[in-house]
Amino acid sequence: MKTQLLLALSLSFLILGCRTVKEGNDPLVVRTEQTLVIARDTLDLFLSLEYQYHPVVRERLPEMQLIVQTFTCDSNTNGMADALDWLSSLNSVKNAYKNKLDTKDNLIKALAIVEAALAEAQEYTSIIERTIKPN
Amino acid sequence: MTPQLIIQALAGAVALVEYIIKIKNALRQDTEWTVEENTAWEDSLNRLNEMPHWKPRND
Repeated sequence: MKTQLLLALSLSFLILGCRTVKEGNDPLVVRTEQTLVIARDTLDLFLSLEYQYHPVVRERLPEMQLIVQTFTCDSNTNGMADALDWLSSLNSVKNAYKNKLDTKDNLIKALAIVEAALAEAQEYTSIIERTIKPN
Repeated sequence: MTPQLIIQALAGAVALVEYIIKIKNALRQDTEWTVEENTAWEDSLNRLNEMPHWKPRND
């Protein structure tokens, strides 16, 4: 019985942990698109939480205002928040790379910018959830 | 067959179907976005840009 259970669990982990990229699809493009979705949703969650608890966050975690400002300001004056601009730029570079109009290096550089923003948003979301958001 | 046994059998069947769906999803291979998915994703950014929490704070 125990052996059967272990076998079933091992098989589940093997199957669930082995998602692959379909033949003919570029793994870098697929990974970039997965990052784009995760980054968009994580940044949105972070800004939404900060907005909801803004007075308390401003008072107790004033250093967080700098990152909120960085994400939401419109430094390109194109009417779009900078963090959304980074996501849009990464998507444009990815599409250009797919069409052989841009290099892999440029795609990796653009991906690194979004991954850095994603890491910050994850960290700050966790801080708000641990220190400010009521249970 | 008691009602309790029927409920247990139904719960077991539901769990089995959920497990099969999970495995089926896990076996699905990742692919690049279609043109429609790419457009939908760009549209989602424009929608977010209109939301109040994506605007600079006023203070």
